Amino acid sequence: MAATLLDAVSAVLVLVLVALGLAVVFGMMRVINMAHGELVMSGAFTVVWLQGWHVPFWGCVIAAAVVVGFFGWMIEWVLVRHTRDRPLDTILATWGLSLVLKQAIVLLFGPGSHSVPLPLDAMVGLGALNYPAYRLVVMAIAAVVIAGTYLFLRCTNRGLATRAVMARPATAELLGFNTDRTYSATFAAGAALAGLAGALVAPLVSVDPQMGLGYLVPAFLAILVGGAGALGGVLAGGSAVGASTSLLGALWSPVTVQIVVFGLAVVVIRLRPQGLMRE
Amino acid sequence: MTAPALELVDITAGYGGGVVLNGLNLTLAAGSVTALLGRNGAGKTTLCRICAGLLSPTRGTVRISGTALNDRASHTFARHGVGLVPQGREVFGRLSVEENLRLGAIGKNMTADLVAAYRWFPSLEVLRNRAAGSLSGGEQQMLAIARTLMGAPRLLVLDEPSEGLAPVVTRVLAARLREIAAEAGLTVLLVEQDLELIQALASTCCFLADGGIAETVPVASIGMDFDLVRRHLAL
Ligand SMILES: Nc1ncnc2c1ncn2[C@@H]1O[C@H](COP(=O)(O)OP(=O)(O)OP(=O)(O)O)[C@@H](O)[C@H]1O
Ligand SMILES: [Mg+2]
Repeated sequence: MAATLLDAVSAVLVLVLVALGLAVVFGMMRVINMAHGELVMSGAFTVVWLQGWHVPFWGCVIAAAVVVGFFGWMIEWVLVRHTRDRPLDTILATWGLSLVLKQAIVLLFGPGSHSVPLPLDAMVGLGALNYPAYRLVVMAIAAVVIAGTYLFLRCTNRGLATRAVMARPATAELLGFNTDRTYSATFAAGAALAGLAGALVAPLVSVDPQMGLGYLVPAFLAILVGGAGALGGVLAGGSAVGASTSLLGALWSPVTVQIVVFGLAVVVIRLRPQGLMRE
Repeated sequence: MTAPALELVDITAGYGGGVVLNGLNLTLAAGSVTALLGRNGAGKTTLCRICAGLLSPTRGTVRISGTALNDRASHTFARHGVGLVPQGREVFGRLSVEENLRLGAIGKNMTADLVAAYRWFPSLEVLRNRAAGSLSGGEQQMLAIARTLMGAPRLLVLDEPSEGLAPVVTRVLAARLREIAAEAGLTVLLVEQDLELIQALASTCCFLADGGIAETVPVASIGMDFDLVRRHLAL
């Protein structure tokens, strides 16, 4: 029972980490990044690739965030910037990108799945319960990164500028803010969060070219349920979707769970179209 | 001799296919205060947007303190000393008054102390922690002006600052703006309908009609000459 609860918390934190990158980019730039799941996958494959070169796991994690972040910066520069005023075009462009990324990974690593060895084998005793230490570490890192993102937006000048650009880009530009630069930094940060999430989950899942969709869909649901405008919304949506998926998963088969969670999300969206956290 | 704060040379601009400004010329000497009048839809806001780089003219040259800034992004104009207080105020409604002011002080890393702003507009200090969206129209206008002033502009462009304000508030605003402009040696372009505010602040008055500056007169001369105003504004 306690293990099930911890699993749920862990699922929530990883989902919020993934949804955060998606939500920041959407909330700020009104860009729906269909390739976000493939950025998660790229993070995981960065770990697979670097481990082939015997890079220590934690080095791989940092590299994954940096590499995927840089990759996001390029995507914004090459693709998103030119279609930003046309939401449908950004959806198509990023969807096309997701297909390209998947194919590139198939070409480089083959279509099969890879596994990354657990960097921490130990179990931690929590009262009567033994829980894998690595999962606890992932939860702690996710919590710290989520809190860090919140503090950055709330308490720093750059965060204040980011919120201003999000609310009124033209006015922010008028006051002297380079909104283009804010946009590319935001997109890069969202990608880095995805890459980090992918790297962290790599030892826990099977790493394959199709894994992206499994992250994109719940992250979308989380944002729809919670609302993308505020970080609180992403937290609420991620908790609702992540916890219900994980808890119901202990009872039913994955397909049933997905149908039920999707149905629940539809009900919530009907009842609160503005998202859980909006007044 | 110092370069004019603003030079618009042969400016043509519009939206889509429609031309709003057509071969417009306007020069503002450094330190001057100029009013711009014109009927609704004449293109006053369009002209302000060009001064601040929010809209690029299809033809002509925009010079700020002698530097041509055509086709540069708006933030570059801000860094060259242009401060536009837009029509409709455009405060950041969910941010506090203080955060709005800090955003104006970007050139000083947003750490400039806000004492000056509160000295100019004491009523803002009481409201410092309120969400800007919850302020009254007049308070928002003062906030929008103070926010722009925090960036220490050399050319201040005000697009209808008295719009929606009670006459008594407009009078207070006029007094404040006169002090500030004199104190900071600002060049001011004041787009206004309110003759009282124009007379309190400006020395020269330009009339915008048919896409260009139709007439430029000293403000003193329009004191009694309502015919002139009526002719241009077709009141
Ligand atoms: N974004 C836009 N797209 C298309 N046409 C526009 C746009 N903004 C303004 N116009 C048109 O350009 C013309 C000039 O508009 P502008 O806002 O500059 O007038 P104005 O003199 O500021 O008027 P007001 O006194 O009502 O503020 C108008 O005919 C208007 O309909
Ligand atoms: Mg106007």
